[in-house]
Amino acid sequence: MAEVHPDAGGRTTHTTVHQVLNAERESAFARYWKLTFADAGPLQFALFELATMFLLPATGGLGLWLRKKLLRRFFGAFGASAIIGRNCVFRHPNRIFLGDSVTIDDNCLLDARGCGSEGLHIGDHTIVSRGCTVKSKGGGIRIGRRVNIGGATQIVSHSGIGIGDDVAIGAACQINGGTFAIEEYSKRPSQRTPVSYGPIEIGPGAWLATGVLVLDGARIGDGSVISAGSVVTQAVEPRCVAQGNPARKVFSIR
Amino acid sequence: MEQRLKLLIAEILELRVDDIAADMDRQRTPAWDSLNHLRLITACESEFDIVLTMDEIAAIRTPQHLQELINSRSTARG
Repeated sequence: MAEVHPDAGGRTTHTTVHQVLNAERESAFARYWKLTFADAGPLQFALFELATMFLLPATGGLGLWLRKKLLRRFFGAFGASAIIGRNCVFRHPNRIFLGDSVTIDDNCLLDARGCGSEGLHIGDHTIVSRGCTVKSKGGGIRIGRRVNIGGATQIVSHSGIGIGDDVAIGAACQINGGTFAIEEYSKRPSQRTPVSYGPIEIGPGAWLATGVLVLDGARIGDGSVISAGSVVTQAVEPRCVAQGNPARKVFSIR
Repeated sequence: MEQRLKLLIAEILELRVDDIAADMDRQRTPAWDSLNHLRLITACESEFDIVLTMDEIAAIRTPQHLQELINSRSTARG
């Protein structure tokens, strides 16, 4: 179920949660099913509901082991030695692909609703720290190998997000695609259609310090450093230090 | 220390020119954080038409040290 719809202006829109929840012809259960595990048959959906109900809150090493053994069947891929913490939420797990030794810490949300066939990929040895959200409302998400994502960071795709290998993302960062078009500003937000002017790309080896915001269509070059609290709205060239709102280059790394 | 350098440091660190001492230690000056250090280097490279290496940049501890590096580059250029 591809959720991304290109328009004539080169923008992409997607089906919103509002549209799914307010589909009056469907029962509440059907809407819940559609929002959590749309591709599953009735048996698989029931098994996933049961498994998550009992396994996700389980504490200690036994909880980790049980999740590793019993949840893998629902995922698109589940690499060797992947670790799933407590009280995580997985939506559309068949579109989530975890590499080897991936760690998803406690209280994370991974939602692949808008990924379609592109999927939500997390590369080998990547760590998603406590309380992170990685979610697609539209477009695929591809997180590279050995990426470290700090606690409480939110990664939300509207038309795709790519994060290269060896990227470090500090705590409480927001990597958030999507916006509203200017021609719709006269409407109330609930009546506007979210659009995206392009995917977000973060090059290999980049470092986003604490609390960085990366907005729709922004591109961060390989090996660049974005200082704490900066807001990246456009392109940041490779191997530089950028700072501010909007983030601008202050130094070339040599 | 050259007055031009003193003015640059004062402007970037947002300090009074009179407060800039040649032996002011970067690690003991709160305003001289890593980001301001890089902004200062970029400003010096532009003002004095020099290029420093990453090792040199990392090793700079005081305005005096920075002045010596600027002087050595200027001398080398003739």
